[in-house]
Amino acid sequence: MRAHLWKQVKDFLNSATIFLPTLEEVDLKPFEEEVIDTPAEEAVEPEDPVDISLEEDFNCEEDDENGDPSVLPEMIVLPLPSNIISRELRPSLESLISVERELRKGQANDALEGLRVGLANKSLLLLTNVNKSTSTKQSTRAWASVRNAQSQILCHAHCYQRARQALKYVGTPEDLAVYHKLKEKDLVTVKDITMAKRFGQGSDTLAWFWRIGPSQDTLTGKWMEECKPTLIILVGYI
Amino acid sequence: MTKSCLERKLPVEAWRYAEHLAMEERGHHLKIFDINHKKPPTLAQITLRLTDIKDNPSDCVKIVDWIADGIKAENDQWVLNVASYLVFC
Repeated sequence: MRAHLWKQVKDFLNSATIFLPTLEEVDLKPFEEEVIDTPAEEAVEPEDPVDISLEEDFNCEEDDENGDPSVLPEMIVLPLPSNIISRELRPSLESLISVERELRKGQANDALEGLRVGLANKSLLLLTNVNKSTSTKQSTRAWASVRNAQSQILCHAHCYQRARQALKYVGTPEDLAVYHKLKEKDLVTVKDITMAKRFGQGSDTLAWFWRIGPSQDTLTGKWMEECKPTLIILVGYI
Repeated sequence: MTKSCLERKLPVEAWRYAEHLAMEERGHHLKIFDINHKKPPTLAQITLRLTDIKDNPSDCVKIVDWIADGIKAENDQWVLNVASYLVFC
């Protein structure tokens, strides 16, 4: 795993010399990670450690002639345009910035889709597998699935945060208006699935990323037109 | 049909015909029932669009490849960080 990452990072750094001017260490700023977790009331124990062979990793690292064993590949700050803070260099990076902006938006879209799927999956697992488990064995398995779903959610949440952080540097204010800050309270399960017919359901709202989609103009225009034939067809059947 | 439907002169006949055709012919005619939900583009779709040689110069394609590789490497860095944390803590 680490050897593979070494190769990726090395290739990226080699290619960077083609696209970027010479950078100093002060020109780069590492990503400031904001820790996000599921709300305390919905937290489950983290998933068991993944199966990683560290021995293999270290051997591969030693085999790598160009890799510096004292520096871990995961600690290297990659010279992506969003990580370059030098104001002098910024005008020369315009084309790179515009490309990264587009790609980061794609990354954010993917992460939000993953987040929606993950939260819906967790909600369904709680409703079905956990609630309907009748034995300890079934319950253990059900909670393992929930933990797995939660890990996926946190992974997508991190991915989204990274994309948004990058968009702060390479994006426009319009981008940040679409991609809001992710909060812990947003990472709750879908109560309409887990607790349908609950008290106060009418005034309850879903997090902002459930409503993200086409612009308001599109919604009020062509989108609503489509409702008409469907309704007419349905009325016709009735 | 409601009064407002009639006032708006909606192409109801065309819709009815399309519905009838969908029931009789099936296949691609059934597409009229698909929800017009447009998802925002994914990273893969954007990468594909930006690397389309017809629309973009080769230099731009190389930049897209390079930055896409960087984003992937950055994700893998995080995964390895988390994995190391789980193993050692």
